[in-house]
Amino acid sequence: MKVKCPVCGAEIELPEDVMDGEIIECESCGAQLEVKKSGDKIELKVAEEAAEDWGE
Amino acid sequence: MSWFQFVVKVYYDMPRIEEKKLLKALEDAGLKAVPFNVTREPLPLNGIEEHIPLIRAVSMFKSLYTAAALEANSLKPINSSFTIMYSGDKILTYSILASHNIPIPKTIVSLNGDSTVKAYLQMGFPLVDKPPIGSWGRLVSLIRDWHEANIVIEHRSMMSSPQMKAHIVQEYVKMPSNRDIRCFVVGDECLGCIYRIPQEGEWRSNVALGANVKKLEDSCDACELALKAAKALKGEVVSIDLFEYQDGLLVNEVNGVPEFKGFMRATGMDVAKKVAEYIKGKVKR
Repeated sequence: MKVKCPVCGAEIELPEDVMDGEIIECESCGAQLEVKKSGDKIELKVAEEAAEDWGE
Repeated sequence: MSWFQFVVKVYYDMPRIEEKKLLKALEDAGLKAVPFNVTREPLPLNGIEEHIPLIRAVSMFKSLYTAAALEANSLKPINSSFTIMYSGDKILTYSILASHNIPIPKTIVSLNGDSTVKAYLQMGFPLVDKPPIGSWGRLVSLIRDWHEANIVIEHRSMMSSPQMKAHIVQEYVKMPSNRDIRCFVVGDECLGCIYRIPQEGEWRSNVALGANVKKLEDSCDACELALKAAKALKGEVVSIDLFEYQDGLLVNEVNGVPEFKGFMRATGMDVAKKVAEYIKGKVKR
């Protein structure tokens, strides 16, 4: 499935197993993007910056 | 309800390769694996149907509060809120480990800039300073003199989070090739251990910082200590980071929502499958 980067407008091909919440990188502009998936609808938004409690 | 119909919900915020592998492994094990994005849906403190929760949020506090909300529903998340909290905050981790007589690096806790100066004086340079919260080597500082010390103290004092103002001051444990050891524990089983070797120009051994990984062939001593640490933290699926010290091994960290990309690369072991088998075993019991 193809969606548009909300930052630069480039077309991004999403992997088949893409999950809601997944972080992907736009190969065109390098933006970190979060996948928002609701039913069949998929959109991208700019991902939040890494937080201090992120990790394992 | 028979075991093969049992629901395992994987609670996540940003799915990584680990979460995808876990979902697939759970399905392959005959369990019904349901992904649950904790940033999309609320978590009521009662009325949630029975299932096994597997907590996998990248955010430590999202994992902690998810586990706590599920425990309010009389569910038993893997890992528990206790394990996530006490492994997620390193001051709490060291407190538990030390109280169980598990060897840790020499450590002093200080809670503001003035007390940190005294902690540095007591520890002596070189030393390591890190905040209680954080992962992937973030803000872990090697301090060799007062110039570096003052920079770290000043920067941390300007951070808004109260946890970031707290300092864990530790002796700098010089290890062979700066490597450390990571062990992976599932239930009562230690799956094995790997060396994490920092890439050139880096002293921290986090895989997230590009460290190389290599299987530890004789992992008996490391596994024995890792299992003790996992038990002290009541961890069911945890990884444990160890240092090689002159007198033996030390426990440096316990990870309550462990990543395992590097471990799989070094050992060839299917960690997700091991976790799924463990969960399946719990359902059968």
